[in-house]
Amino acid sequence: MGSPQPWYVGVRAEAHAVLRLTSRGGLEVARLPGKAGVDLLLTLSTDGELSGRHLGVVVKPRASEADVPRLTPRSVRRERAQFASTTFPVCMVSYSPAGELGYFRWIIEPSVENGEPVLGYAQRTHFEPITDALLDGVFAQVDAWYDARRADGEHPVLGLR
Amino acid sequence: MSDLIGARGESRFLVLITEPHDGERPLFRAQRLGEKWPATDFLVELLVSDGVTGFFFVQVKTTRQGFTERDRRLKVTVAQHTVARLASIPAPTYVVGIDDIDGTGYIVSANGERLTNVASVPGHFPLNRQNRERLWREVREYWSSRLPGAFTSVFTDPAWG
Repeated sequence: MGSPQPWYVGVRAEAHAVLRLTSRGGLEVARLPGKAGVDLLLTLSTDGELSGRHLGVVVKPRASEADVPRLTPRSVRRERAQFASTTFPVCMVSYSPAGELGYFRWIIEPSVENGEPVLGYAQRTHFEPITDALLDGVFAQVDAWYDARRADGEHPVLGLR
Repeated sequence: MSDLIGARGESRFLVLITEPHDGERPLFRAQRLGEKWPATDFLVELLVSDGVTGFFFVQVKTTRQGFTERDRRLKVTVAQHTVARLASIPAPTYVVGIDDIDGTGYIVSANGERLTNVASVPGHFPLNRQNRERLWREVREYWSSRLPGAFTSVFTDPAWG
């Protein structure tokens, strides 16, 4: 097969991303229009009830399973400007049309420091392979950030670092 | 059916219908029609080397309940009003049942007159390489005729008649 067409790479990458990210259950997924900045919005749920705890996902298609995705420092800076007004966690995942191995990196990473919810821009340009353990950690991280945010009611709007 | 299972089923359908044929290009390109489009979920185009040669509609139904024991039918439900709507479309139209447990899909023609709801999809026509090719040929044959009339599919289910 020659170079696959962009529509094919994009459609299959997003489909594989949905299937993998939702494989653990406990969330809902919505596809967002192209101008939204993120491709998918995951919302954590408990016992089928939506929690309002969102995680934005940008899907970065890659043409071949053998490719290892990597960003340039310039594209990370551009990404930072693009998400300057975003107030919830956002990550990026990468899939090829084969969909065998996915890769993950944070764009806006949630954390808790001294009990305070913090959102930080990711500085790293490389991705990590998606595993069950990685996904468990990601969703635990998101949950912990929202827990801290709820406890920190005096700071409903958080600045980005 | 929850929104999550429905979203997973649509993604699984996209993966199955756009599988490369014999390691080459896919036979189909599928476009979501959106929630406001009545009865059908996807418009699927038949691809040829220089463009598109026909299309069909698909309603995707997803389940985690598996198959009936007696005659191995996938337990998905299509409401009577949806069945009637699908049958009235003057173009090839199919229901694809997705088993969200093992990630397989099963196709059946929805054309023809039907008066009742559908409670299952037969396991006779898995959405595999062989049936993708048969599907491509039967839809192409339909659109190749000078005056397309009544549509007859090989993917029929006697229990639906």
